Amino acid sequence: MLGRLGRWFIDYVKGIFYALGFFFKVIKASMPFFRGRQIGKKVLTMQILFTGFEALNIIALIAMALGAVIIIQGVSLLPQFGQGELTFPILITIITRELGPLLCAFIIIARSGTAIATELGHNVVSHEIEAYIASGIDPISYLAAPRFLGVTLSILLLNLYFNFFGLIGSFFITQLIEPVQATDYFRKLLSYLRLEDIASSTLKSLTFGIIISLSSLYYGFKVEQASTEVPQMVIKAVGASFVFSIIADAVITLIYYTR
Amino acid sequence: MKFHIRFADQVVGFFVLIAIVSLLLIVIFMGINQRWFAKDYYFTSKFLSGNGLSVGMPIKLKGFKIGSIDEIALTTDNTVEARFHIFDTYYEKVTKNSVLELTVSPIGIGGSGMQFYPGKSRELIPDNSFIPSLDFEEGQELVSKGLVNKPPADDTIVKIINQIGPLLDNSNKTLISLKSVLKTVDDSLNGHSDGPAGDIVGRLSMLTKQLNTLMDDASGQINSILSDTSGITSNIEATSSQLTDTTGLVTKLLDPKGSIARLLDDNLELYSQITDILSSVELTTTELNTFTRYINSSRPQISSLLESSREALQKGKDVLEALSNNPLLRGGISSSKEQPTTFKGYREEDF
Repeated sequence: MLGRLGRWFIDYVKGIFYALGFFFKVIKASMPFFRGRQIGKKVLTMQILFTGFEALNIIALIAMALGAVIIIQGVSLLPQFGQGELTFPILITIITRELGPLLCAFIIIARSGTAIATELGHNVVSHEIEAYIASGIDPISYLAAPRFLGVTLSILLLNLYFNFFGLIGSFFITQLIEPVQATDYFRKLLSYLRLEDIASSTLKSLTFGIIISLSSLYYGFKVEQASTEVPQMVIKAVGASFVFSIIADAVITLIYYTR
Repeated sequence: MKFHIRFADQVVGFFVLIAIVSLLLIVIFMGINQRWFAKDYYFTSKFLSGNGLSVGMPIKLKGFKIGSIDEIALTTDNTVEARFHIFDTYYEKVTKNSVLELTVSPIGIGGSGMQFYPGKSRELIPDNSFIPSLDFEEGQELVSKGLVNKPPADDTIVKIINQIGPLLDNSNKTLISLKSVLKTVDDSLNGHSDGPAGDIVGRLSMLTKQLNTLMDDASGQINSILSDTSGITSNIEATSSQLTDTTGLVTKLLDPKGSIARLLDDNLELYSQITDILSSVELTTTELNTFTRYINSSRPQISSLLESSREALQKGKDVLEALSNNPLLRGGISSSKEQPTTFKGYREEDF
């Protein structure tokens, strides 16, 4: 009993160190992309295309709907309490600081995190990884690094688009239901929007991107032999991405409000 | 091959470019709107409390934002020092004798803010100067001297609050008067007052005591009467119950088999006897009537006879007296006054 517990603990610690080593290797392999040595440039482009561009429609739809709901509720409800000006701080808090990055992360986990873990898992099962190694191609540099950068950049860009559609696009939706004067709306919006809001939002999406991509890559490569391991690892990748994203969100929010 | 996959590089480039350009545009517009590059003029002021004060709080002049609070700190003398800036576009309003006023809504929402009232002087206050607030005497003095361009309060809540103060004072005074009146009334009711009310209450108290004594006396009598009444009532009740009793006295009297019924049921014998008795009584009455008439007609003779008898008796008395008063025997007959007769016969009357 004691021996089993000891073995489990040693394996657990080893696993943590293995994961940390893997994350370090992926980040190290990603550095050449910034120095112009682009082995997997096409993989990176395709990853941004699949993860970022193809998710744009759903992100735009959710952002505009959410923004429109907040504006309509705020414009119709808050002035009754003499707090009409609070519409914009609420809109910025929800769209830019809190819900925007988190919703983008959830969408990327569902769309791309699962796809990356599945693809890499099947690569392992079909011995493609061994083939890359045999051909002298580092699978981390060719497969992991572009995906890591692609997912992280995509979340950053999607978060910008989410803000763009949530703050500006929702204005046009609102015009159809409850017209608001454009100059007044944008003037107030820009006066309430702070650089700290943008920085917090960017930091969150960057952190979520790193978490999602690394979790998906880690669990994708963790598949060993059987194809039945793939869905198990995908589930673990999704679970880890959700949990670590929410924890990171809470920590960043805490830092933002206690600074 | 799909368009976006065929032109993946261009699509991704466009995708990234638009995001970056949008971000840049937003940041630029933010900078313009938030006056990142404009020159601001900084000032300090002091307040009694930090309640309602916050960093970023707008400073308003007639509803227009002309600046905002940058920093607030508690000083060693327990006042609150606020550092704020005024936009360069409104710097010309910051003239000598300007003051600040912190208005805090008592209901917590709305109505709070920092108001700036420019001085009536044309001389501008230099950067990093001190501007007094209305929390301190310095600012209040400037207003009282009429050196500040301070419009009357236009905030409805402030107006209401200003009206509530005198109302509360009046209410307080009324309550004090009411308390005094209540004390006087209380004293009067306790009979401690020298006034007419106290006198009345005292008398009323005495009367009440007397009434209580009377009531105690009357109570005994009333109890006696009540006990008698109770006896009478019980008798009446007994009689009533006998009357209502189906086996009672009335029923017995009316019983066809009872003694009365049997007495009466004698083929009119009793009736005939009563009729005979009544006839005898009537005959006797008739005879008595006749006798009375006779007596009445004989009354003068009887009266005369009685008068003669009386005279005879008087004479007999005189004789006897004379015999008793005879000198030979005793002292003779004493003289006496003759008493006239009270009744005269018809023949002696004058016609």
